[in-house]
Amino acid sequence: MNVPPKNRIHRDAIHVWRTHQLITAALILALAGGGTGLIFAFDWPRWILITLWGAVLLYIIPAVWVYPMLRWRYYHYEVNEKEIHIQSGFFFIRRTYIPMVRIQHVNTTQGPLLRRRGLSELEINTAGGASFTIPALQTEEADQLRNRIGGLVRVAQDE
Amino acid sequence: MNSPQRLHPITVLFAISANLKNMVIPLLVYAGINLVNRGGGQALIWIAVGTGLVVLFIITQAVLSWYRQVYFVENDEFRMERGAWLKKKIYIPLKRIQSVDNVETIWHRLFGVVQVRIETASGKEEPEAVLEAVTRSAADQLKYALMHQKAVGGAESKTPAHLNGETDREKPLLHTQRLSHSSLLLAGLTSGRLGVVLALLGPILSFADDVFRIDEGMIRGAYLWATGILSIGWLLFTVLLFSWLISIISTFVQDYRFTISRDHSHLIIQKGLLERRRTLIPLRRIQAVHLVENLARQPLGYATLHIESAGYGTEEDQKLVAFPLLKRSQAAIFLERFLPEFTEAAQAPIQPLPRRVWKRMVLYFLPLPLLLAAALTWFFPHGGSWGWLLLPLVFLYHHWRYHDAGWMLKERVVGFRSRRLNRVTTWLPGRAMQSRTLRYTPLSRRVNLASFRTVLASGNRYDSHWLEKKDVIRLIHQMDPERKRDEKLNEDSPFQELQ
Repeated sequence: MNVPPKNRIHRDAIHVWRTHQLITAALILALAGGGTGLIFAFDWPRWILITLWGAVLLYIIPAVWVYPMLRWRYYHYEVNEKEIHIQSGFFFIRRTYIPMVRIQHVNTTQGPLLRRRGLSELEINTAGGASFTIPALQTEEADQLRNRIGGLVRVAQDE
Repeated sequence: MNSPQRLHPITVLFAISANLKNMVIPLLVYAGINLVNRGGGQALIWIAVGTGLVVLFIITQAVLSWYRQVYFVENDEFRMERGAWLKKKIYIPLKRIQSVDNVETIWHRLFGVVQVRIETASGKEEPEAVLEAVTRSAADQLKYALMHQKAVGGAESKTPAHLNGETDREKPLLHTQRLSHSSLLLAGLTSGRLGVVLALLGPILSFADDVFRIDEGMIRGAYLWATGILSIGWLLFTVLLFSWLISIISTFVQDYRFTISRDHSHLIIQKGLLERRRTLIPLRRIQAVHLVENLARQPLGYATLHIESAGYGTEEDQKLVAFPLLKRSQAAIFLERFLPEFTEAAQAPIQPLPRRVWKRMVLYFLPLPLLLAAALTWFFPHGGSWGWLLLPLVFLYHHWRYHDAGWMLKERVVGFRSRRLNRVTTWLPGRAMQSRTLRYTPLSRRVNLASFRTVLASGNRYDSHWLEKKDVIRLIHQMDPERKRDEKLNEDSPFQELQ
């Protein structure tokens, strides 16, 4: 119970997440640009400008470069015949156990960013609408895993 | 129950009155337009004809939809067909049915009928099927067919004889408990949340008001400031007193003759003065039990017991009052009668949080009020220093939270106690846990603390406070459904049917 699950997700997850963060960053930069325009237009004190850009950079640089790497480093999963074990998060680290008997269904999904790298996301659903994800697996691997879990779930529930 | 049944004919009347009520405004508008455009006798004729047509249509519609609506149980499914013009068929597998509720409005009681609502776990706001009005015995028969058929072994194998024997009486009731009138009154008096406490503050405010009024020699500005505050205080007091009265009345109306009973596999809750509501909850659907002690009840030794059930969707917060007012010392007996699965855990000794959590729960919250107080002092040199009062208040509040928090574990049920304002003790059975999570941060890891998170089938998530990491690991282990199955094979547990 004290060992993290043994499998890592695909390394390209870092690139996918980075692209994702870059898109968000672009939006934030656009907003900050608008803010700068306002500050100059209304001649507000300069310290507002400095605080604004300070905060933006302080968020963007780690969000784009560091977080995806850390997130990948801590993301682990393991599937055995009794349960699925997923570890996620890099500050709040969560180690979740989902028993096979509790699983309702398993999906694979693929957004445009994942598709470009031939990756898929595996989504595990339990009753009550909760879902857990294994975010980046090679599409083929994800499909196999989905089928395997589906089989294990049926066995577990027949018992 | 195999043959299609119609609703009680009174449904026609209900539908007519409901639809007429909806048409009043459009008809008035129609009449107004006619009067303006035509005037005189011609308008009256148009109005009469228009209204007549609408009324005729409503009546036809009501009769027709009553005539066409039938329900029956077939093939392990509840089936309903309805619709005046277009036929709609609703099939609900018996397995999917989460609850069957009776609702009686004052009109239903007048005619001796009940409304039956059938709900599934879809999470939709509206029940899947509503039978507007059926006789009480038809409702009992239907409920029996819906809830007990599975136990009998499928639709085909049940015999009419078996049905006839038990239709009117459901399975024998094991226990029943009713809320006495004096408890109801006490429940009403203590039901307001903050209201009661603040209403008790009223006399203090009035005392202060008197003092200030006597002291005419005070500086004028200070006096005006004080009376300004106090009259606002009085206004607040009046509003609170009023809301308190309303909450007493609403408790009375809602929880009048509150009765809980239990048969082998269900809880049955009946309550209400004007609208008598009857709810049937399968025991195995119960996801959690909460003992809530609000600020007014805790010092008196009273609490409210809530249960959380899967499949109540978003309709009413998923939490349901199992009993409105209970002596805390009687809680164990109550649980033993109605929710035996939780008795042992409720009697288990409560364990405090580890000492080193105190720092995390109390000290870590101090920088924010500290900053706030400093900022207030900086920007408002005169009154701002009152902000420092925040500091001891925040400190005491969080210390109080730490002091009251704890947890308990017995077999397959874990209990967590915590406080925001009300002290809430929640018991969660392992069978309801869909996932179990160990949470930690690099910082908490260093001191071997972790917290436990679980998501229940009701969709609600529970997080524990920081606990010893080894305890969380043990908890995760002990709540493993696989583990339970092995144990259950050995002992002949009375809760076997819960799984």
